[in-house]
Amino acid sequence: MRARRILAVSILVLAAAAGTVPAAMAQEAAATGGLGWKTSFQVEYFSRTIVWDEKTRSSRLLNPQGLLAIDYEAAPGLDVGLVVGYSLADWDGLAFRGLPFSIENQAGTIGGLVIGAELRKSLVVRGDWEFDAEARFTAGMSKSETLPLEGLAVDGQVDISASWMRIEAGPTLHYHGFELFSPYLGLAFDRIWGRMTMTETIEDLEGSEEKKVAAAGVFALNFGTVYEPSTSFRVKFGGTLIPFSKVGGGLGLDYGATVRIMVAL
Amino acid sequence: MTPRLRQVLFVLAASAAAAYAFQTPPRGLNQTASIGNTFVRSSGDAPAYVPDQVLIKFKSSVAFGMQTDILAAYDATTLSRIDQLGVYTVQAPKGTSAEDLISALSRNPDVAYAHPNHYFRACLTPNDPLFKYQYALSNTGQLIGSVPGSPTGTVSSDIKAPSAWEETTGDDTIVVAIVDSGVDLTHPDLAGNMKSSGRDFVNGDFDASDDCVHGTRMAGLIAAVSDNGEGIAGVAWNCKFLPVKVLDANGVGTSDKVAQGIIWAADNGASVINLSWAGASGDETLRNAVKYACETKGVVVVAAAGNDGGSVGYPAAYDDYVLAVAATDYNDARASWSNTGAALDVAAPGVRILSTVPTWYFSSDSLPYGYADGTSMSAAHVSGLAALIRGLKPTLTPAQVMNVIRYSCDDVNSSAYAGQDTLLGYGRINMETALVPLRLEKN
Repeated sequence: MRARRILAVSILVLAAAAGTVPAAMAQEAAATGGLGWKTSFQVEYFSRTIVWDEKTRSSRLLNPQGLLAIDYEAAPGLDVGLVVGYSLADWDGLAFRGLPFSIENQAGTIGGLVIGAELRKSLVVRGDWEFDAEARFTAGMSKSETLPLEGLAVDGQVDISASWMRIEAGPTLHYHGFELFSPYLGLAFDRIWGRMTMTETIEDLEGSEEKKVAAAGVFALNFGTVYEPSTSFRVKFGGTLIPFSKVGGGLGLDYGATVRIMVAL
Repeated sequence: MTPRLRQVLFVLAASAAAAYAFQTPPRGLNQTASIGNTFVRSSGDAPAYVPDQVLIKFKSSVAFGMQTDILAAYDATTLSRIDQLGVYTVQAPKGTSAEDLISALSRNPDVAYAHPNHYFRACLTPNDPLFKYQYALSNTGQLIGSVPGSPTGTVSSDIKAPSAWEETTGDDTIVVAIVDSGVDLTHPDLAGNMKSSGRDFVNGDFDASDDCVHGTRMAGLIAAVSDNGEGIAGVAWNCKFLPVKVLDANGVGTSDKVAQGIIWAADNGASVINLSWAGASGDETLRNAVKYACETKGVVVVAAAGNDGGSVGYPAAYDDYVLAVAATDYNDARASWSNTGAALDVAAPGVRILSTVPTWYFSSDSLPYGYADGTSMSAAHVSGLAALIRGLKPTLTPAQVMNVIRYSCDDVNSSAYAGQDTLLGYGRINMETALVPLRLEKN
């Protein structure tokens, strides 16, 4: 049910990005000319501290993913795109104490589809400096898994399903003064939230618990550089640092990294 | 420097910075998570290590003077050194976390390893001086009894209480009714966990004082005030108990009295009812009383199987409403006198069990604690576990609580009787399995 809801939201966002926005920009694009399609392959990894049980407990969500993006330059300086890919989310450490037998998830990675949409708008260009706004929405839906529950006097099993969503949006400053490289620095609102459901079946003893989680930190520092040997080929190397408040007090730092290869079609 | 060269240098610097920022966490930090889970299980958020301290060992090829120079270069303050290991404890510079310092040091080729200064926490063990004699809760292979020449137990032939207490020691809103011979209301190891002076159906008043000894033993096993530097530890040491007197000074009761006691307990806030007595015959009154408690009032009812080696007695034999408990000993072997039958659900230690006795029971120069055998003791241990489960998981029904207790058992006689059997039911209870989160792993 949850996965269906996420799918519906994602489709709406995708539709907005793929249909409405480009359509609205088409006239401007036609007027300015020089527009086109780009495709990208992206490998991304993030490690985010997630909090749950009313922010009284925490664990980590580790997520390597591969994404394929199709972007359309709807107007000069305006790119909209669709994203699809596959992730291997690791929710280890999440504990379910509302089940008849409490369970701490240590099942490792769970594969699943990722879909999303992205948008980039150039706002200001002054000499070698460019200031733009970037936004991306992605949603991951892990496939359900059934695992045996061991260590009991009788046989039991646990069904797991999980999903997450991520919104990133914020301004980025680019420097184009170098011939081949364009370093950048950006700030972003970067929120991840999701849920994991465990259903326990041990003979006639059954229970189900849904655990809602959210990333502890929401403001990210993005930095990196774009290598651009030609106008039709680019490679982006990026990093993200996200400070957060630890549940037990003190500050922590989450991180992410991305490599994105972009080809103009 | 040509513009092209400047570009190349910039890119190299940027790549190095990115590589530094996004490398996988240093090995020491991965270990931190693992160690934290192992030793701070389920406490979740307790810090796993000292936030600004790091332990460092240099490679043997690095001279002592060089070591101190390197530490000075990182602005790390040496707090101590373990000479035998050549390991320094250093404090990270102000504003630098242990993780940052470890990350920097781990890239230094002179450093053999650097890792956090981890915390290790003692498992929750109460400071009650007689706890060491309670093999049923924690069997370390100790003497079973305080007299020289007593037998020794088998390590881990116990109900795993200390590790379960890491998860919970009970909720003071959970009340265990001890429907028995009453309780010594003045016992120093019990009074603090007594909900009220209870109800006496033998003498028809509200003073459930114990003129036998049996009920006082049950109260100690279930909910003795614990970690108080006195006497013994109870299984559910933060729960309350409610004494209900239905057995007379000889430990004998009648159907009407015991049924009245069960119903009164159920009507007066009991979450668990302990029935550490049995009869060879049941009757509809008793059956309906336990049915009322379980079905109508949602109470978990636990009963002793009986001690004559025969069939499971009543009310334990009322399988739909009562958890029937057999007895094991300090080697996880079945007690020879423990009753048997298909109605048996679980077992718990019932041989040479130390518990509270009334203060009048021994002479004044003796401590009010004594040993006893019987499935009564076994049932009391199970009632304590039931109380802990009810506090931790208040949404579970009595039937679900009973199943959690059954399915979490260790099948201690599996070599001869695998699975549920008529001797020990599902096996000896295991508090840790019942209460501490199970780790769900892929094979």
